[in-house]
Amino acid sequence: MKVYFFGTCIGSAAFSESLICSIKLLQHYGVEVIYKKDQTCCGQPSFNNGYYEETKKTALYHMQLFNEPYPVIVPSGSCAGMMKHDYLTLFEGTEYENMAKEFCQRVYELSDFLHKELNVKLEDKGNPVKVTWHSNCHSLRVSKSVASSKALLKSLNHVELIELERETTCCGFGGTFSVKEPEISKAMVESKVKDILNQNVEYLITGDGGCLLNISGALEKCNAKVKTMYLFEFLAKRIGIA
Amino acid sequence: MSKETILNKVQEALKQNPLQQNERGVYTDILKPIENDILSEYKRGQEVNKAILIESTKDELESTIKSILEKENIKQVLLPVSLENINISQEKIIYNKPVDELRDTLFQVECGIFEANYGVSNLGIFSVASSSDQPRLLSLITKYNIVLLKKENIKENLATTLKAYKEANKDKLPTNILFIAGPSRTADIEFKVVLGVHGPQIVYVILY
Amino acid sequence: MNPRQLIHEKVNDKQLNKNLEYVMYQLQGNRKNLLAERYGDWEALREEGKKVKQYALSHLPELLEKFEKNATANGIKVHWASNNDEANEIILNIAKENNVNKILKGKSMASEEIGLNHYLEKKGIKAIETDLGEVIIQLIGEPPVHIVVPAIHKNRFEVGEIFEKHLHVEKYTEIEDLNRVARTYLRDEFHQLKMGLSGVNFAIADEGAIWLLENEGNGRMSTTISDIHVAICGIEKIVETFDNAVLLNTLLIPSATGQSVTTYNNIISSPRKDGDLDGPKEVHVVLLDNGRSNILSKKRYAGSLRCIRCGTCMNHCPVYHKIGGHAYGATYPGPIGEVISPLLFGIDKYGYTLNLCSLCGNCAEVCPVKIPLTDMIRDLRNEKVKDNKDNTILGIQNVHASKAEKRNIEMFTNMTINPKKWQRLMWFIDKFASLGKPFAPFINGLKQWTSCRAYPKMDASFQDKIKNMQGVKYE
Repeated sequence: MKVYFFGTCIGSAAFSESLICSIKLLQHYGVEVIYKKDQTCCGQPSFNNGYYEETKKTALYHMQLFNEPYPVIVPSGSCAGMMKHDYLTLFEGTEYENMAKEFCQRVYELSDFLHKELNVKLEDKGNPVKVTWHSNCHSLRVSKSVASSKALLKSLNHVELIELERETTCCGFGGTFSVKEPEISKAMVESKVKDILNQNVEYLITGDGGCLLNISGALEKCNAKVKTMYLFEFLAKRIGIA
Repeated sequence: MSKETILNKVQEALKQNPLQQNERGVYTDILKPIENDILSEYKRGQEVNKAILIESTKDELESTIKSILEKENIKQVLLPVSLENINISQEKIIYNKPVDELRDTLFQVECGIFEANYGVSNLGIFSVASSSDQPRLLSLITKYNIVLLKKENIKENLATTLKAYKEANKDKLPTNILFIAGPSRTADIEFKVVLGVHGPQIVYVILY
Repeated sequence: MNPRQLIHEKVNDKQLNKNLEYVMYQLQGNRKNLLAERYGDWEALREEGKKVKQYALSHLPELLEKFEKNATANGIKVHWASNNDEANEIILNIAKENNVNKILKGKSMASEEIGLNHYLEKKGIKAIETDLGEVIIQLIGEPPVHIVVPAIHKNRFEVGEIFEKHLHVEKYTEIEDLNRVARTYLRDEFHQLKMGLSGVNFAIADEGAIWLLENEGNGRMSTTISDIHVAICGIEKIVETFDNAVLLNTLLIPSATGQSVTTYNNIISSPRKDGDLDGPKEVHVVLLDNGRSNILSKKRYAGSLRCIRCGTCMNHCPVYHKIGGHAYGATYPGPIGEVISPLLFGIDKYGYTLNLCSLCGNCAEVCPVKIPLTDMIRDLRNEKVKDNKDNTILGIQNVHASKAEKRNIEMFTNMTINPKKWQRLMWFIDKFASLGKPFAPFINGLKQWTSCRAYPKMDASFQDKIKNMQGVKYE
């Protein structure tokens, strides 16, 4: 099976190793990965601020770039939600409506693709470890891929998943929200950090680069010992392919 | 005229944005009962709602009322005309005059007794409608309420109860229909529940 | 205080934060547990609730007239008010005609919306709140912080101090005592009550009746013991049948407080009639438009008129938790407020509240009538920045999007469709991002970011690595 891999902007700028691991996971389960070198960003920064005309340019650019009927695999629930759901809304009633429909139905968040399409069975080769999980808002409510992410995590034999008390509460990232409303964002991420520290775990795992950047930065600022890791990097390391 | 202005604006709005929702929403009672029959479910719910539930019979109604009055040490009772012949030793104040003439007295009385029209099983509440026999304030102004409820008058839910009201009144509604869960309450401070704000603090329901 | 200062003040008010968060999570938990334990297909019921409201909005002209006809036949006087001024004037005239200089109010957000208390006060009429939460905030001259629990930002010690100062009682700290103080204070007021005011939860067209929900009994007092009862009712509160109201009631109460039912469901279809011994001699219903018809005309936002004012969007909003209702500066705070306040009162005044959202989507997920609040908030951001402005949005002509923001977005968009530029950006981040650390406090964006986070660890080597990655088709 051939798939396109969409690395996302935050992924390519900050989590290179996690993206490599994401691709290794796909390859490990027999998928051939095509990387379009001209890909950029899904368009959320402009979309979330209400600049719909600008977003349409970015969206159309990618719908045309990923032109073959291969699945488009996105290692982020947030960007997957944008490309799977919000592109449809953007082009509703325009000449690109059908193109968007065709495109959106083949966009998959990576853990959804691994869990539901490939039905992968993960063989955990790591030492026993306690982790907790943060649900990215758009993974939870737009791409709706959190169930798959957690199912994959839970399938690891030596990983104990300890849930956050307020797992589904926003971490305060929200893209440009974090710089437009820095004080509120700060208060929000501080609550998230408190919740994480209460769980006494070694790792905080999440499936989205934005949240990860936010939470890891806040944890580091208070010298917390909890390590953070992108879900797919964690999975790849657990099964010994990275 | 504002009426015409508003209606015109609303019509204009719907021309610009025709919502065209012609399918009506349908109510289904989705509350999952815990007990097996509507009577037991009513009783359970009514207690959850913090009313004190006592089962009695028609013959023992008076003695049940008496024992409550004695237990709570109530000296004065407000009664609707329909219950004026009830045989109790406490001072009886009959609500047979317009509120305007009884106002001072009403604000003093400790306990109101009245007959509920219905019980609502799925929510564990009772219902009372206003009438000349059954003034509205009976269920509001006193610290104690003793509510009489016939077992056969328990309905499934709000919808069936309202339907029963309409049928019983030949489609003409009582001026005021009340559904009451129990004692009045508030959680406005720290979201902690306190009983007895402006309505009754202690509510007995005698089921017979 | 400007909005920026207001938000700054609220987000740093530790007591407010603590009080709010405690209660909001409790409200969330109560709702969640109740739905899980006691309710069947909640999602299907939400869909039906949405239909009920959409149907009523689709047929609003007929239903309004039907309501008027049936209510009038029942002996209720129906008034129509296009805006604040008209509504206030109608209520003032009713008071004047009856020589009333004091009115007692059950909880009504619509009365807050039209600024009734303030208006009446200027005309020499005192409007006294009777809902415990409203009593507390009226004493200190604050607006509600939440539409269901209006004084939830004050803990019992603070309430004790407020009562001590304004009601001249000793300083109590137990909630039971505070409740007793309020009861006694209002008992005297109720005794003399001539004119009472309330809001409306559902106005039932087929029956010409209004349906009010409450727990304390103050609403019943205000609508029962008075000679005159005036109810303010937004035109969107109309539903067709009793069954409709029952359905919405089933959705509203668990959403609002995590209970199944309020203490009182008060259905009023008539003033005191021949033979009745109590109840108001006159019942008035003021049907209020005040911008609602304008919202109805907008495809994107008409759905916000489905709102049944349960407040659960606030209870679930992580931003609201941090700043409380006052930071929104308007009668309606939280997610629903972000949508309807700009539309009802001017996007120039309340447009700033649209930034008070991380688009997390929790509000839309829990809204009992399925209002897509997050989408509406983003769409309203679009109204502010788009080129062809919708001139029918109140205050839009005074909204000027930040030129710098627009330029940044255009620049970014340009890079997203220009791979050479994009790759250069990634290259730049890869080589130089770490060098920015000493300058972080001086660079806009980074400065805010690093205020509570370590300098971001960037790793943009992916672009290089992927080129030669084994098995990957790089094209």
